[in-house]
Amino acid sequence: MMMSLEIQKLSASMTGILKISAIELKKSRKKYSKVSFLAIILISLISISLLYFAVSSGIKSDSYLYEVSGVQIDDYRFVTVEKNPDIYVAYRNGYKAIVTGSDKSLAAADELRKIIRQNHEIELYQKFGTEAFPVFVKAEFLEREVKLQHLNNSRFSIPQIERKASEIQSIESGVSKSDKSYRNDKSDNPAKIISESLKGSFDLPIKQKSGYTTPSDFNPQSLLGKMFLAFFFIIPSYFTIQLFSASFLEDKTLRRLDVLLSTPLKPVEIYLGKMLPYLAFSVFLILSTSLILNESLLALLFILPFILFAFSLQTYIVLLSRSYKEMTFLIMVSSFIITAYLFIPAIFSGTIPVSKISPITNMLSLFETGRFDLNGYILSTSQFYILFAILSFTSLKTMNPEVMHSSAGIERKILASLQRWIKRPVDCLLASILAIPFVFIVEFMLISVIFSMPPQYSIPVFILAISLVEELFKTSIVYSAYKNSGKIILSSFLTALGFFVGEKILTVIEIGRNYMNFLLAGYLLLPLVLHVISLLVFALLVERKGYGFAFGFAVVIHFIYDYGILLILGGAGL
Amino acid sequence: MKDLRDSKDSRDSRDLSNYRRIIAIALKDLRSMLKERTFVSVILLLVFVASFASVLTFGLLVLYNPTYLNILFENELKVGVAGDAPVLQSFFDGKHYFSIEDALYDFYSGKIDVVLWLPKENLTSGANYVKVFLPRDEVKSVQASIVIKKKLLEYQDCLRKVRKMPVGGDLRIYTADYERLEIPEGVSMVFKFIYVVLIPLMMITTAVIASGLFIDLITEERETGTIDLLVAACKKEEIISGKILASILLPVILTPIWLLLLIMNGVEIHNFFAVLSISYSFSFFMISISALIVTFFKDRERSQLVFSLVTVGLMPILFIHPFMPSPLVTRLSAGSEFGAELTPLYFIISLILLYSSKKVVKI
Repeated sequence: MMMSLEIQKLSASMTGILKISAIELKKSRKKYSKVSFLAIILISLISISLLYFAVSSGIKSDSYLYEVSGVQIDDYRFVTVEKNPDIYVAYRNGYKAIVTGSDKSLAAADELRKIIRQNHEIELYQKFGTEAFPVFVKAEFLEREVKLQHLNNSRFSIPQIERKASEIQSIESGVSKSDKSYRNDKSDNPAKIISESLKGSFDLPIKQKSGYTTPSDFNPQSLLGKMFLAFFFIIPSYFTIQLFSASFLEDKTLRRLDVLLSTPLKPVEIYLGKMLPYLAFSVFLILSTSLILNESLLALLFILPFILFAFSLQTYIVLLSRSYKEMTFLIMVSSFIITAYLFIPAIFSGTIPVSKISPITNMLSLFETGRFDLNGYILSTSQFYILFAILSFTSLKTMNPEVMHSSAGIERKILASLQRWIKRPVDCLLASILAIPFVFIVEFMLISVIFSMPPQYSIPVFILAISLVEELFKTSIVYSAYKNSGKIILSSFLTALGFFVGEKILTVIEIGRNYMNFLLAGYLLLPLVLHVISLLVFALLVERKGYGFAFGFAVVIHFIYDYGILLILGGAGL
Repeated sequence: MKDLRDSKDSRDSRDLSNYRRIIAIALKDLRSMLKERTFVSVILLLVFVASFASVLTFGLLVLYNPTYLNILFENELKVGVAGDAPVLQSFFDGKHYFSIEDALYDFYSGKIDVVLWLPKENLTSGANYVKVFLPRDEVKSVQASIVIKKKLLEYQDCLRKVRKMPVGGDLRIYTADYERLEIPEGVSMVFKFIYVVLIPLMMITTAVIASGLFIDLITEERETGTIDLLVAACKKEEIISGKILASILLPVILTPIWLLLLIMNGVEIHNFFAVLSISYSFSFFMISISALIVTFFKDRERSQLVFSLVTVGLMPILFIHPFMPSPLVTRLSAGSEFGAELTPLYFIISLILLYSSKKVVKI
């Protein structure tokens, strides 16, 4: 009986979602008349053709960048000048160059050195053939369990080595087999390897294949070469998300959303119904990209969680924005940050374990090896599923005319949206655990930003930034519960506990452990003491001095703690 | 004569009030941007673009340039060479193994970080196929790859010598005082990151922001119906001019800000005003394109979509020809004058386009 009631409810919800989707499609059909649809298709085709033309003709943004005199250099980057060259080149028993010492002249010398080496290799090949290349090299990457040396000096236990013995046997037989076979494999014949090497010496090392290369083409393991593939999967979906947010904003601005909310339809049905057509189109685009690029259809599994997250983030931004301008810029900033978060770890693929937090690393690894790593998949995508769920839930609570149409500033609207679901002190516990993925992303991006500063400033600035971010999340949660329940001490304590638990959950993951050690959050119960003290101070001050003052004080306490720990660890040589 | 003077005076005062209304409309939009702290978002966006670009470059440097690796490595690299290859082994100050099995056993037990395997060395003729076993997902792997590359290149030179082939292909670099100078590999990458990637990227981002703003300014008035109120008080042309003025003020203010920030960060910007001029020209050109789009596609949703599509197609084109704005701004900021004469031409064309777009836009 209960079961059939649930099924009936679910079926009613599905009907509601499909109804909204149908309305959304009808609205789009009205807006996209045949003429405008054809115009957009035409513009898309022209853009793709231009893109193709640009890629096939080669990007030469450094044309005529270096000014040279003396020997004429036959390369598009160098232009011969009479006066004030960056570099003077002469040839007598080999090439010699005089540089002015400026960054540009040193860069010119570095580039010229590569050109000369390349030309020498070509000359040798023309004179001696494949005999001029006596060495070929091939890399094989093997996984081994490594522990941090300062924690454990004997990095491998005996059973571990014994377990590896069988793997060694299989590698050895594989090596012998491939050693015998490579000589017969036409794809790895010396002439072909050499011609590839000579052709591509100036490009970024993107052509590293499973076969052998010359030593000059031998480079660290990286999926960088395949990175552009990931853009083809992501960018088309961005257009769909852009359409969704624009349509949603129009509905909000013209108060159509208010009308829909006054009907018996639930907010979740309206939200999912509006999203469904665009999401379906995104899925279609991702699958089409897989087919066009001849890559695995499983790419969808890696891209979809991120796309869902982007949908929910843009929904939240639309609901908070007061104008088109505000929405455009908030979406621009947030899209850039989340795209960077998706791609930055993948740049370091195969180098550092943190690269595995990006679904792009795992997707490109699937393309490269054909292996689907379930652990890697769960690790990299679960954060996006969680973020999608939290943002969708908060957006649904924000779908209220009072909050949506308020002319208050963005920070007040965020607090108002949080107050709609953080009502009791006990809600703080869950909210602060759920805040961890957001804090992780923001702090990860802060590392990237602050990292480019000089080292003497970057550490204190970074500590100040993480203090600001963490206290912002924690105090917002406490403040929301306090405004609803009036119980500030209990709210503060539960928020501190929740945040501490969230951090500890993160340390369960190996990557998270390295990260939390880096953020000084991995030292037993000390972080809990910090969270409790900073929030209790906030609780004491917020009633008398207001949010801003109390928040500032909490940040100062957090900063002193982190900086103090860093100095103590530095003093202890850790 | 008096009538003529009166008519001229009244025309002048009409023109003055026209300009006042245009400025008032631009100020209205700028005030709302200040209130909504849109400028903060814009500055944040520019900072993130610059940081992301620098992280990308750092990734490339770490992966392909040994000079930048010292900060990552604490311990020395331990190499094992397996097989019958005495000359190869002499290049590596490591342990020798007769069998690959023993070498891999030590690799897994952490005694060595990398294994090179060459079953039988061919010194005088034929190729030597070296297999390198590296640890997956360890920074050591990057260090090992770079050390091995360097040593294998030396090994290759050695075998070439044995085979009586000329060894060369080097460039001797000297200072102006004719003193020998050693330049680390990859210095051009850092230089090119700043001038070839970062500066054009900032120029493009600023232009895209300004054009997106123009689309929003027009479509918001249209879709919320406030355009009717404005039309009651001002002429349509004045409204459009006001919106264009608000949009061009953004790059006019932002471009010197990011250029000065770069200078403060130690980046040398040559031909400051020429760089400024090219950046302005490009922003004005993009605003003109957005004006054309918003005239044809009316609402925000379609206009922003088409603008994004046009931007995606247009951006790579900016990099393919030496006289396109991107290579030009690269060269000018880096101190190369090639093609500098095009700068005023670009500026004049962009102003003409901007003026024409005032006539084209329909509200």
